[in-house]
Amino acid sequence: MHSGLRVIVLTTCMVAVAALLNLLTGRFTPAALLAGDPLAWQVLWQLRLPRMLQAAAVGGLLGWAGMAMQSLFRNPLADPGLIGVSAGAAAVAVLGLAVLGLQGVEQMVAAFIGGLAVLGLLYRLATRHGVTDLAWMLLAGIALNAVASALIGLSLYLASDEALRLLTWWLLGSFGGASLVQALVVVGMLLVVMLVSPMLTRALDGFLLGEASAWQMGVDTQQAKRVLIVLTALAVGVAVSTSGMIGFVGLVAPHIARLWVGGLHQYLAPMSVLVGMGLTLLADALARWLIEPAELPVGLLLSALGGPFFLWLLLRMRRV
Amino acid sequence: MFELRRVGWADRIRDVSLCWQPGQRVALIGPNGAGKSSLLQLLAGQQAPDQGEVLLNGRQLQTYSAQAQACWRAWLPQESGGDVPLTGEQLLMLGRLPDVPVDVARWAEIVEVLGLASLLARPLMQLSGGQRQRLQLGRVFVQVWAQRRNHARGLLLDEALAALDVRYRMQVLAALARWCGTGELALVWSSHDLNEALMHSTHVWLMCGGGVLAAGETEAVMTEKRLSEAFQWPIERLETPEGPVLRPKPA
Repeated sequence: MHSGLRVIVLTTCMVAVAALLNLLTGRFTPAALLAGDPLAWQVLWQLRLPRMLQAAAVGGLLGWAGMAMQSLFRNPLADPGLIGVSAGAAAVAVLGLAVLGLQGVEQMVAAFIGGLAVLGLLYRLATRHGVTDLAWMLLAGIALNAVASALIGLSLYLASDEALRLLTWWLLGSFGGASLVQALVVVGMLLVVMLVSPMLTRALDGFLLGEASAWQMGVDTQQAKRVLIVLTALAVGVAVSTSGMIGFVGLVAPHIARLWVGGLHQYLAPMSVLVGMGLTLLADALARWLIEPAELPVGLLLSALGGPFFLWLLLRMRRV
Repeated sequence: MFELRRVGWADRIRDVSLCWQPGQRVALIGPNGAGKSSLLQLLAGQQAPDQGEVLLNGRQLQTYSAQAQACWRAWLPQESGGDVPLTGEQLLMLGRLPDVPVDVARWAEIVEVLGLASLLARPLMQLSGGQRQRLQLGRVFVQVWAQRRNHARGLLLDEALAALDVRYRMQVLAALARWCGTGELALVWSSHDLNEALMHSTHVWLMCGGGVLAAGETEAVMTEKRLSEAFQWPIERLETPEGPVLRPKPA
């Protein structure tokens, strides 16, 4: 078996273990489940299972989105959270909730539009004559992030006390609000992404070498860019609207994946999804276990871990 | 194979008409900003002309899909960053078109000509600029030769040999001459080395200010007078026992 394939099979097993760990974390211990406590089983089926599914799928979506953006921008530091895509999605969703009372699917659509707007604008701003400028992209991303943050702040200011509590929790990022329907929407989105992704393998590989080289390799670059941008915005929009702002998974997952399977997207794309799933599953379990019976917002936990990782990455890049 | 008819693009290319056939090795020369890279971009189909037309086998180039164009020509642009998380072999394999196997003998020839054997297993991040450039050249060579249908194809190199040391530049130029000699390949390579152009080309396109000053067989184009005029610097042609040599006069 090819080594990349072997790593993927192995990682899938690890993700399954993480999912099991996630399911069994909480007040009702495995012992209670084995004893046949009906309440414990009810909690498992109705609360923990949807939550586990949502956590896994959101992690997978963010991992894929990070991988797609890193290839599209030819920049290992691109991440939906870092350059304002998540914030843009959140801003429009929050504004929709605060001003128009949007919820559920409407809110998802709003988040998608917000993410798409930021990503599209960013790409237009940073690209001249087919060359995407790295410094430009980061700076423009910071600027758009600031605008999106201001919009989020404005929505918080406008929100009622009741909505405020909901908004704050959501902005910090959490899988606590998971329901089966919501979880299935996120899982469905992940399936769509994973079905389309193999068709983009050559485009993603080509963009690594730059847009001109991708074109000369026979990639229809305009079409590939459109599909990538829309799919990324969809993935981030669905993730953000269901689970709030969960940072750094998009940055970290592709990096870990690259260490294990290298830079070609045949394996890197599925691997980024798997690592993202594993990260959010473990982080969510940790967030519930650390201060039991209360729980930390998982977004907070991931930022606390992701920040140092990002610094380590920067230091490593300087050394090379 | 390729033909340009009165092509104009923005303020970079003005009224250019050219013909490019299999077997030709065309040196593209001219001062900085003459439009060499833009001309290659047009031939590579990445840019559509504002005026005139670029034809491939008598049909407008833009009517071919990106995939189809990649079967007819390979292009190595100047900016083809090598700072990617791949190994040498992975980069080389990217030159392969989908579902087309690479001929083993051809692969060995490419590896030999560019001295890639020791670079294949190494990550690109650890290699020097010249080593990366050799792998990038290998990638487009693979693209040229890994084809399903056996038709002639074009190879466009944009100052791709400048970063190579003497040994590999000579080996590559010899290989290109061999490949073009069988009529399977047409080559255009842009260069600032006038003697390289003089010695290794069958044809020369001399560009200046977005237009073609002269195009034709090497000996006919590369005259003292024309070169001096194009580069705005006196260039003399010395006849030596080993053949002619072009020498810019010292300031």
